[in-house]
Amino acid sequence: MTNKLRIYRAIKEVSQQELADRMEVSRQTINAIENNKYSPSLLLGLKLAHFLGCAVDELFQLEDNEKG
Amino acid sequence: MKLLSHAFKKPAALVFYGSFVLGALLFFESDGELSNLLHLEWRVPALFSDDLLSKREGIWILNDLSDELFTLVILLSGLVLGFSKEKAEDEYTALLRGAALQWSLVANTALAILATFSIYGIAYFNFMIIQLFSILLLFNLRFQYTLYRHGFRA
Repeated sequence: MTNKLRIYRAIKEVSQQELADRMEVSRQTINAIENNKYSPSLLLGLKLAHFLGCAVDELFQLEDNEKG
Repeated sequence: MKLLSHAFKKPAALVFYGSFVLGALLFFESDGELSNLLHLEWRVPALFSDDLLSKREGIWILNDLSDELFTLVILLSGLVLGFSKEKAEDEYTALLRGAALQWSLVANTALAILATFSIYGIAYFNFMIIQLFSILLLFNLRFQYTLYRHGFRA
């Protein structure tokens, strides 16, 4: 799975730490998501999309080999 | 999974690693000064025992409890250390904890297989005693290393 978290975060003009604080997770978690090292839970994904003002599937995309 | 408060982390680390070192010194120095200093002979009920290492009187045996107490302290503190919250506990640290637990189980099993075909006699018995604690040690060390690699430790 890939994501555009870094892009939407830049649009919103928030730092990783600020976003982490709003999402009640660690900055390292946000960093891991942005670097595609970690796929967040559905809840966190929905919270991120809601805060960043976009749809979940605009924020996260399946890779070709993950599509059913 | 329910975890213990972060407040337990530092005391548990101190007790776990400290008692691990002390227990190891006691284990490898069975006839030494430390063993005599920590000698705690008590009459205890035994579900199972043999006359090889202790004299049995009914269900009671006379036993040096220091090694049992060290075992209890090491095992409990190791569990508390591994399953108390990190300062920044979230779903990612929970995932890393699970991964460290899985790794330690595989590593511990690999060690057991390796030892089975390379350690023999009383030395293997000693290894089996070490195996009581090795999985908790491997888990805690692996978890801390993983947190360090993922930037959770400044």
